[in-house]
Amino acid sequence: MKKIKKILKKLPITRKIKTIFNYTERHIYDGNKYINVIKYLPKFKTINISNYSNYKKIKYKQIENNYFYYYIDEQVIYNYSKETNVYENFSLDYGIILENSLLELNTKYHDNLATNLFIQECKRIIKTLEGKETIKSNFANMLNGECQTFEEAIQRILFANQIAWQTGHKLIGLGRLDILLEKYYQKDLKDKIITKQKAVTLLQNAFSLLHKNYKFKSSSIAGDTGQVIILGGLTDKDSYFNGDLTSLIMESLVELNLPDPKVVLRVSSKMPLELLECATKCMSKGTGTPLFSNDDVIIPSMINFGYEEKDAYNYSTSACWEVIPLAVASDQNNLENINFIESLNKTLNENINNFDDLLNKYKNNILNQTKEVIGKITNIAYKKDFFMSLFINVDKNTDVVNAKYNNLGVLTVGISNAVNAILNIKKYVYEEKKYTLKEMIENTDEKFLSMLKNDNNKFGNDEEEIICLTNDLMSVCAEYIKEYNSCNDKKIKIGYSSPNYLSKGQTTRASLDGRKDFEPFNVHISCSKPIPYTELLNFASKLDYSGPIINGNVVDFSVTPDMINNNIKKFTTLFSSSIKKGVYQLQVNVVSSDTLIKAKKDPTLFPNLIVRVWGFSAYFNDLTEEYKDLLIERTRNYELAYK
Amino acid sequence: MNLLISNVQRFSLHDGPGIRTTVFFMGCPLRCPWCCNPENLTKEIKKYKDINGEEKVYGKEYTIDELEQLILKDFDYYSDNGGVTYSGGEPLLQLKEGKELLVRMKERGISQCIETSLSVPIELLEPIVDYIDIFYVDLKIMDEKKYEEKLKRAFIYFKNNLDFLHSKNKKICFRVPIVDNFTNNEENLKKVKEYILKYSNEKATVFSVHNMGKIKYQNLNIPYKEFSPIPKEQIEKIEKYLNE
Repeated sequence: MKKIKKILKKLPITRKIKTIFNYTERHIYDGNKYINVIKYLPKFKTINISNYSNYKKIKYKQIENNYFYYYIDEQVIYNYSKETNVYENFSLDYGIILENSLLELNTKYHDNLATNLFIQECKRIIKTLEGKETIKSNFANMLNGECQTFEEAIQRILFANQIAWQTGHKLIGLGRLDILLEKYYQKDLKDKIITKQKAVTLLQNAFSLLHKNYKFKSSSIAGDTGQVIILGGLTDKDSYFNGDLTSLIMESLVELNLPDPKVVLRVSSKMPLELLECATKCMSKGTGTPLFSNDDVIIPSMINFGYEEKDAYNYSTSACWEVIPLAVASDQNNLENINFIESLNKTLNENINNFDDLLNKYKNNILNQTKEVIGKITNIAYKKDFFMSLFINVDKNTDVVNAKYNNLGVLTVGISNAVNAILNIKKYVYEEKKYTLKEMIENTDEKFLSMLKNDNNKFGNDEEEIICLTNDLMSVCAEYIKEYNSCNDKKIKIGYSSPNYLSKGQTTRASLDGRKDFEPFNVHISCSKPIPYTELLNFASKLDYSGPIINGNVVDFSVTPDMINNNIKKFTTLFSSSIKKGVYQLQVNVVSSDTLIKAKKDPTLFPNLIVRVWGFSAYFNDLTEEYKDLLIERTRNYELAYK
Repeated sequence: MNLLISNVQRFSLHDGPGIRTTVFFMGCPLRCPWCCNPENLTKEIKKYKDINGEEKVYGKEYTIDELEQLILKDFDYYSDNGGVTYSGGEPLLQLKEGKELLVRMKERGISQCIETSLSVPIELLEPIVDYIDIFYVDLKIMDEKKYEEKLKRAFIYFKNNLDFLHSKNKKICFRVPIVDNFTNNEENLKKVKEYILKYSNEKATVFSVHNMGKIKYQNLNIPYKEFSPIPKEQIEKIEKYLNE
């Protein structure tokens, strides 16, 4: 037991520990047998912040060789409410802490407990710092004045971010960092306070500090921290923001070769091609940065959904990609999933007369599931949140609960599998009449399943019939939601991509696309067969993203490092063309299946191999074996398209 | 008029500038021993069984309309000089009859490239020459006799067509396959170099023979002979020599 306690001390604490740690981390050999250590882990110390004397529970530690002070006590959570539903999973508007001193904030929002917490923690950190004069003066100025320098601006952001995590908020993004920092950077360059090289050093130091507690910060599996940096973007319909920092932040981050933080680059046909080429080069390094988010499609869709124009232009994302206006919205974008296979399988147990009857009954089941899911999420209650209220809705001095937007997000899984299954049923039962529907459902023969899996017509092909079917199924949810939204303040959003294609697959029986019991669903907008990238992108650009279908619609494919590195210009053309065509969002895994297979066999060979997981990057070695297999299969598929 | 095509590869990166769609035509006048596309040697649909025992075919007939529609699917990606590349096999064997396709592509302003051995009667080249923007021409065995002996075709077609393209001032990019015992010797490479100097202003691309076509030989039940790939350093050295 002593030995276990000793080992436990070394482990980082996290709230969803079971899923974050892999088997070997969760089990410790005590000399006789492997013991699951989860139950022995200490619980968080929760501190109520309304009692100032409690603050001292966190012992700020002295720092070494850093330009900034950033420290999170992983065993402590400052909590001002015992309720569970805390607002999280979005970026903060760090502008407020750059433009105001902490004391000003405290005067302006004297009822807000968080401002006092900021002041107390700032003072305690100043006391802790020894011989770190620059950092000390940055903190001192934070107390009393407006932000002066680039370095101080980063420090303020880090400080606010640290308090966000320490107060129990998860998946906290870093906002539009280039827009926030550009004016400080330009001023310091002009005043010769920093050089470009020094700026890179500072940024990289900040990113490393943000990465440091990455297991603690992870929500579902290691790497899922939500530390997203938003860069670039349209400022109005004709101008695109591209500061010096836009590419510099991206390049500095990629050079560090860390899976997190990560970048969402807001792209547009109005953006300079050089920036897109720089982004392609960054992407080719394989850290999963950046994900492209297409303003040309997204902003009109957001306005169409109901966001005010200026708010749509100032969008950021939740932890993965779900769009959300910065600073004015407390939207909770990732609440529930609609499972298209669950509804299809339910339909297949009903009495089906013909193909049209099948489709009608299926749509009815999708509709019922949509209603059920929406009923569920609209009943979730949220509690007042002093901390978040500082960053959202500050103008009105009201709580985040009453933010300008309080919308809710639904995601979907299995639509790709469902489309493929329906195409199979149509072909084999109603066109070729090779099988009856019953025979198809009951057939578990490997050859038969492989035939279903390998059939040529698939979700992702740019064929009219498949695109129409996909839009048709999604519109069942969308139409109902539209109606719901027309008479409710809290509006619902929905999207094609979901992190849950693995976990939801694990509870769903086999489907007639050839997927076996409990296997993962297909990933986001991708094809389960080898197809050219242009074909997939064409398909994605023809999907309907109007109405409520704005909650993240990501195309996901992989490419080998050789292929992209030898063809940066051509991939840049591929991306710029797909932006013009109307692809919503896009992420690319740069890795070869050979490397993945070797890494799975012997993890010591590639300790720092990074892969793009659903909407973030992670170390390959941190993934479950099942997820590793899935990634290998998908990577190989894309390679086959070019053999 | 139908064209016999073995494959249409979209987002093709190695067959000319930009993003391209490469159309592989069936039928070839040459019999290069190192050929990696045996399915394209003769102009006929070929049945085979893949490794899973499933029955499949190499080759499909396309109408001009069908082919046009397929190429146009990626039209939006052809900015930056991308377009369509005709490869094979020997596309010149069918392109005269498929000229309508070339006309339509030209009307739409789509860049057209061809990968050819030029080993066909000039009557097949003349009608289409104005539609093609870049000719990718293989320089294989440059000794007339050996060419005929190893590749089973008279050298004169190649030579005449090359002179013809040259007289028309067409853009020619040479490609040089390096194969031990066939093309990879000093004498041959010297001749290759002379051709490059005389006929082309573009950098010649040099590549090694490879064995990636092996599976297709197995599928088609044709005896396969392995070739040793040439080391990268040697390829780079030859490429440097040829482009000096």
